[in-house]
Amino acid sequence: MEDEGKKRLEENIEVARLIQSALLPEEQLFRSYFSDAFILYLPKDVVSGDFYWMQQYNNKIFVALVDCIGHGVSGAMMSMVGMQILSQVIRDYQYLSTSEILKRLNDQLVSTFEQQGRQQFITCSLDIGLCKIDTYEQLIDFAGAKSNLYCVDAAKKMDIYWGEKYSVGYKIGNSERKFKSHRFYYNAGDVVYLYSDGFPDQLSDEKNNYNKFLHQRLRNLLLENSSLNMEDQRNSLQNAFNEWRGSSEQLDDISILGIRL
Amino acid sequence: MALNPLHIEGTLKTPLVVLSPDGKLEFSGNSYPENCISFYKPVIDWVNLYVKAPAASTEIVFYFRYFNTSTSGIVIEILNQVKALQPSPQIKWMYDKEDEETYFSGQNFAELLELSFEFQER
Repeated sequence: MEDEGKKRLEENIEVARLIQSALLPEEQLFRSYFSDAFILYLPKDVVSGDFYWMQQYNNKIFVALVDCIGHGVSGAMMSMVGMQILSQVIRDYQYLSTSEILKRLNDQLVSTFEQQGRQQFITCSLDIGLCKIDTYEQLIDFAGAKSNLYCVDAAKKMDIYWGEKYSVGYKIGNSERKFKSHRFYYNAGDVVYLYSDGFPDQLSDEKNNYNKFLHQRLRNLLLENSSLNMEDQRNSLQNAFNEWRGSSEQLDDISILGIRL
Repeated sequence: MALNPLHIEGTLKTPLVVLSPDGKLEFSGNSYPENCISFYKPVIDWVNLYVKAPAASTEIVFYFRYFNTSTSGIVIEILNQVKALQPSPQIKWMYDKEDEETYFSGQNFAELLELSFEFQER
């Protein structure tokens, strides 16, 4: 009986995985908008609190990579809420800068859970890197909340655009959330990367003394691989991850999105 | 009734916790317990009692390596408890060299809670 219950639950979570993957844009779709792209998407459990998102409005393409609080089923539920609210906010505020959009996303997430009267216990906080890409002007407007954007050019120079140190979707006291937009021009062939913290935070097994992979090592790896085609870049990241993790468990959801402009 | 010290040995998933009624509170190691709330319940309870009869001065040391988002909530809860202590608690935030994420998290907590942290690279 207990085994049967467990089996039913597992089957149901598998359906949840299908629902989640149906809502994520396919790698192929990114490739139709840009020169090339890869997505490395590794849920810690079957379903994930991470998601990535893309939507075009007029001549602007919005791309986001989001890491919702939690993982597994709870993370996936949050990611559904987060995706819905993100879509609405961008639809309604597509003409604003990414910093203004994040501010409105924050307010919207906070009020959604406040309305339920349980804001002090449940928050839909999320880390997000949001790009608004103007492919005519070759201009990117980026804002991040606990998320950075890396841009690597043909000369293998990496520019780092730092996001804020805090997430969106929760408040403590009455401090106003402020976000900054970074705007920069790019050249065709440049590569931009967005990622959640699962990859750099992964602990190794004993052969690397249970250390974190770290952001710096990830940056070095991305830089080293930046001229490879995108599929090879994904495979190389996947291999580096497997090797680092060794026999230790995956601690969090992982996603990395690379786009060749 | 005097408050007893609380000592929890560290494991791969849970930090070493040393809470002493004479005012030193230390957390070090990884923190991603299967159930974060239940792991930290005795800690939160202890801090609750401590702030009612604190030592002459309080020092809190955090030295996390990997910690999950649920742990962030616990850290905020602990800092909220001790925030009003007089004199203000001394808070030391230690992090491994090159671990920018942990350093930034400490800055974020300090900013959110309007507390001053002493940062120390290890």
